[in-house]
Amino acid sequence: MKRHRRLSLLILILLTIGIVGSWMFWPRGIKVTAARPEVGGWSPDVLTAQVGEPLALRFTAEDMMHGFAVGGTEWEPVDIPPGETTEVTLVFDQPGTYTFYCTRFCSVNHWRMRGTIEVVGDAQELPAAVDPPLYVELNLDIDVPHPAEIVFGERPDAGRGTTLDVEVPPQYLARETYIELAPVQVWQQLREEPETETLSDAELWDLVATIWQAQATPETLAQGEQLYKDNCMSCHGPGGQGDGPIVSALETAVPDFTDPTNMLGASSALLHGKIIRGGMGTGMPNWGAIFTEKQTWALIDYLWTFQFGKPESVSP
Amino acid sequence: MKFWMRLTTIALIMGILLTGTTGCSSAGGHNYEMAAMPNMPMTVQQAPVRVQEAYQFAVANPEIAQAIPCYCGCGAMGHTSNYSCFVADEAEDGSLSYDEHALGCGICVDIAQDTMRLLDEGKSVEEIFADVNGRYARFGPPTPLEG
Repeated sequence: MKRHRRLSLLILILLTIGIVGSWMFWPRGIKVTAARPEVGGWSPDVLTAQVGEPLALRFTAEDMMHGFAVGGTEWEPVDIPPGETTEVTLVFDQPGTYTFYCTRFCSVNHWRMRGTIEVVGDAQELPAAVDPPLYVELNLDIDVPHPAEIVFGERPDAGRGTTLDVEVPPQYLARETYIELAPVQVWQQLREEPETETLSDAELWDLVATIWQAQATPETLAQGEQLYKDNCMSCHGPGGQGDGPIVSALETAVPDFTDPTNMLGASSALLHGKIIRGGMGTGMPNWGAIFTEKQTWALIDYLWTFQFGKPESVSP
Repeated sequence: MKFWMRLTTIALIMGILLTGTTGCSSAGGHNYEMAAMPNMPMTVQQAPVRVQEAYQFAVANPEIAQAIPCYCGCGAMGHTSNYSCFVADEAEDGSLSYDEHALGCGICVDIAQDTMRLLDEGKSVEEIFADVNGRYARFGPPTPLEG
């Protein structure tokens, strides 16, 4: 009888210790598995969180090194090495739908390795009315070819442009011009302006390069270059020539940012649309789900350096 | 004696229950049908899993996919809904010709996946329409839905 009671007590104590121990030391957070998109991508690929509440995640990579980042935030990417558990805790201060994505090139379908975090809070989750994107507001068709009718012969030099003894009409220095007009349109309009009509064609291109470079800052160019290296280079190539390492596996041609005919006929608004919406069936993802507006414009500033170079203050 | 035996039994049951809950994962059925993958073109069968699922969903649920627009810009090429991104045409005998557009498009597949998730959450087609519009109208114009 007594022995029976002792045994029961022992089992009870052991169970209590086991349950409390499990509760205390059991790994916290949602387990998220990372694998190439061909074999599943993120699992789960939809997460939910509360504003102001920690979202604890435990990542494991099944096949190779992956990376985790959350679009629309300034949080640094986190590597997920295979064979390890990588713990990440996020706290969102704004409700909304956030896209998380892989930051390590893992396959030709790497760009499809995305998921969403639905963050709910007191504020309204989705805006009642959504503004159309800039290219729609400007009535731009971003899918039709936009070749420049006139291009430069020699690559323009913004430094030379600053030494020209002309007064540029102020509307050409406005941000709206940089956003809404293609360089070739500005060149054509300057050709007709009394202040600049005496310039040679090459000098006029130098002036356009000066105008374009004036819209960028060392900070936006540095940010744009980093974004380009991290997200665009595998297709568009290190020099912007559309010759990235995975191009041979793609079925569509990748635009050459160094080609004046292709670029000088494009406005920044057109580039903005292509970046945020993506390539409509071409394999170019919609970066609008990941980049902030500030990041998108920084990337556009950097893309123009393939035509007009970098200001001397940021050139290596 | 009876008291201790009862206590031990309760503790054992609690332990089993707790152990069981920490290790389980939800399998769960879906609120929609999925078309069979072997009938799909080889390009779809070789696509990433999320893409395969989007094709399977669109084919099996045309009335839902046709009620949800796409915002990737494909309206300009004649698409009328998210369904058009996956299925180009249906012959009189019911056989389908597939549109490979979605194989290279992120937005089309994401919209189909969101539709699937929202159906599982019990949302109506009208609610899904509003949700999708709120998420994707910032990328492009909606396809003009038929009917």
